[in-house]
Amino acid sequence: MTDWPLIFIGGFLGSSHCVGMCGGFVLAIGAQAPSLAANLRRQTVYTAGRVFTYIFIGAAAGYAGQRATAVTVGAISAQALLALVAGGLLIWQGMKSAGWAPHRFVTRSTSHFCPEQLLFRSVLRGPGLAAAFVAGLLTGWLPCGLVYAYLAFAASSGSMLAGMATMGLFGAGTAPLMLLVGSGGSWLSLAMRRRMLRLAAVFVIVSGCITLARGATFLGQGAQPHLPACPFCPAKSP
Amino acid sequence: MISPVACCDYCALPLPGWAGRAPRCGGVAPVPQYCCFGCRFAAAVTRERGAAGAAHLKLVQLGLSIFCTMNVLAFTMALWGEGVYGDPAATPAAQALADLFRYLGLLFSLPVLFFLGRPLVVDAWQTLRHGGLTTDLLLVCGVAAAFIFSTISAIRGAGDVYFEVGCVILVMVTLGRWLEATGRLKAGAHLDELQQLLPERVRRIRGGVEESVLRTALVPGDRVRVLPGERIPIDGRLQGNSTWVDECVVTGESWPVARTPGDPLLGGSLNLDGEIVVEAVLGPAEAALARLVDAVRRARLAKGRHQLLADRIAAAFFPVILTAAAAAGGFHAWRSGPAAGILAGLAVVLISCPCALGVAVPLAVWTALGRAARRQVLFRSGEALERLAEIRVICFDKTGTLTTGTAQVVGFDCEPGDDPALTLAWARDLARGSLHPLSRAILAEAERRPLSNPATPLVEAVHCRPGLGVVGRQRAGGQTVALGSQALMDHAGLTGTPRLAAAARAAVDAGCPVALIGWQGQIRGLFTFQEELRASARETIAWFRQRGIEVLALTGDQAPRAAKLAAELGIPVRSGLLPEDKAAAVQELSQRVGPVAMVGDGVNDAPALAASHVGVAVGCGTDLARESAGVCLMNNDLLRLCWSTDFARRTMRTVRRNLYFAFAYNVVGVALAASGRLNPATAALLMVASSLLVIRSALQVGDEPAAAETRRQPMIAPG
Repeated sequence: MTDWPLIFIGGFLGSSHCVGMCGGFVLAIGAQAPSLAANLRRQTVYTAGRVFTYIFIGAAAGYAGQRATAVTVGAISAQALLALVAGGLLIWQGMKSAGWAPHRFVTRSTSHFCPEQLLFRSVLRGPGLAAAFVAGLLTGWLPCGLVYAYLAFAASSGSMLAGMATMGLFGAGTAPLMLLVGSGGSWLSLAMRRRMLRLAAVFVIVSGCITLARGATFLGQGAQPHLPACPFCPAKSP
Repeated sequence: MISPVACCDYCALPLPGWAGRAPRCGGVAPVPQYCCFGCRFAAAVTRERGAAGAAHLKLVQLGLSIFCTMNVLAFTMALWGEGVYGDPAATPAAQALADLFRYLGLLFSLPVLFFLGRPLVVDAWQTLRHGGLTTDLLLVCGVAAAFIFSTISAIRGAGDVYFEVGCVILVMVTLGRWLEATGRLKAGAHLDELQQLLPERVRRIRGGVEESVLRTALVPGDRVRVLPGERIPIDGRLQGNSTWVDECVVTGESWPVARTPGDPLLGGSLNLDGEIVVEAVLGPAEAALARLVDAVRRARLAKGRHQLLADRIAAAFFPVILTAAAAAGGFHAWRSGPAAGILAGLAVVLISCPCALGVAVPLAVWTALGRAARRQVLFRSGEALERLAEIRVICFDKTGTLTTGTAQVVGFDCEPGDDPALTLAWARDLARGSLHPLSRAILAEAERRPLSNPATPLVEAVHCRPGLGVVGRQRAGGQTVALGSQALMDHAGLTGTPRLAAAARAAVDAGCPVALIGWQGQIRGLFTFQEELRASARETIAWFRQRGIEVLALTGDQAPRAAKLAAELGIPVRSGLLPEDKAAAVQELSQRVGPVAMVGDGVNDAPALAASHVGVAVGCGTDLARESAGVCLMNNDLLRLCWSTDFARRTMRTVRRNLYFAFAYNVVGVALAASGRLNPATAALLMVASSLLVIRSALQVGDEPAAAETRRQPMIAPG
């Protein structure tokens, strides 16, 4: 696919958004580390956990897309539809993070009880690399618009492997900035982060447009099975 | 005290019947007892947190199990996706790959089995040994069957594997049970916050030596030093300095009150400015705050009708589910092979895990009881809450409920020949001998006016004539003086001038209480009183009317006074009622209109409170013993009644919504699962999602969108 670099850059620049949302987590992860090296180890393990979750849900999304495509053979191309949806989502997400879309603030009552948070907090503070890994694993499941948008993209790839690759690349893109913030604190100024976010938004929107165009092309080509071959198996005859 | 039942060591709920031989609540159990798997798990997590530096082993195990499960799922998806699954025409390479994926699934599911399966098995086994059959046991059997079947498939290199099903079930069940236990603990948090207001250790002074002891070790007669800003740990008597105390937690009184040596102090109230010594009068368990917490705790154990309904359904549930699971399993096994049978049976068990049903009602009710207690409203049971939500009519007792229970002197008239100051001074000295509201009003009036010689009593040998008034002897002259009703005057042979008699009659006709004072054969003074309406009475009545609830007042007063009250408040007033008549009126109303709430002070209107659908006692902060009322408002603010009614309605809405949801979810879910259309892994996911939904909604019961009421009431700050 031509847009692999775009995904990575989207993840990389989009992680300025992650720093805002999840910066607290990485700082908490590093809080107990006695040295920079130990902290970096914890951060890496944490990030690995997060990326693992992304890859897993990418696999699930890719698999779902694959099934949808397989099931709808002969009818309208599910992959094309998925691509259109993913493109729309990406553009929407990009516009939102750039501040070009209306925001809705959800206010919650003060006594809001969040059992998930309980689990999360306990793991986040736990010592040991396993706890850091688990914390990363759980962070990956946190709701995030950007993740959803790329997830839709992963589904539209119509293959489990491509889905995994998409989310893996996205996760890898988010890694550098989060690692830096986690080990070095907040060296990025707010203004800088805002500029990066704007740039990321543009990249996400471009990805969205490409995806939309791809979807439109599929739609134009008409319905056809689009099962990518398994890289381990010999090509099947059509 | 809490009735002696065995309780879970984590969430403090009564243990199920099979563990009834366990040690009683409060006792130190040799082996911790838990009511369910969730509590056992949660307790393990908490215990580890307590140990310094220890890893959160349990949670990390859960996290690693999630990791392994994700891997297993990925391999399974790959197996499904590549189309080699059970495909006889697959190439050898694809076969080998499928084999590899099967073995990898097996490998990754082993840690999950070890970390999460083992505790579940242990729990189910312990329950079984006590003769308890639970869904956990069914789950264990199902999961074990799925694993054994899949392992055989993996070794044979053919057939389906269901490792992912077992893993997802184990993860989800553990997660679900843990959330449930945490939710239960959270439901009691409001209560704990109240209880934690009482200090754990106190400074006891014994033989001039101060020592730090546990609060629970105090006995009546002990003396305790309390510093400014500390909570008074016990109900006692003030010694040493005077001080100001904040009794808001106990009585709801938001203004600090002055206390001088010898005054009673309530446990739980805040010592504001003086360093004081308190002599314990009651034991620590009988302190006002401890009594409140205890009352709420008992209320939690008393089940309401909704809870009984949920319990009944849950009790019938197990056999029904067992049958359904067995039938579905048998049918699908016969039709599509043993694997399909196991999966269908598992799905039925999982979807019907009675979490939602078992948790829906009690969690909401407990949260509500605790929340209300923090707002100084005590519901004696969940049923009182249910009943208050249903009322169609509300009856107020007059004295002490709609009125403050105190009166004000609005007129003082005496014969032209007498010195008004002297007459008032005599009245004051007589009034000191009685606690009647009218005597209090005369005392208050005397304090407002400059009197000669206020310190020395002018009257001696004062004694009370119950129901009539007070009599005494003038110190100078030895004349008998009487203060009280017309009946007392008649009794003492005192006659009034036509002028005073006419004034008294006019006042009575206008609905005002009067008192007379006289000596030497003649009535010489007339006090006219007015009862004070509570500040919030009008607002409260308007609130109920707006909601279509019929409002009326019941009083033992005579017609003229009742008419005056009716005119002032704009509500029907029934007058001249004896306590039994009030009860009869309540019964008549409940037959004619619907459920009646009776609001009174809980002392002289006890029969009416008992006869009503729900009785509400006002101002019983220090006297929780008024058992005739299902609801106790600890302060005198009638608006709290509006809040309580609204709160009860909101709570019951949540309870009903939870019940409907749980029921509908179970019916639809079981039907789907029994038809074999629901993968057990999906069922496990749904189980967690549904219990999360229910627990959330239950713990947020009665949340209000920043109502004015919240701001008006000072919340209790810990400490």
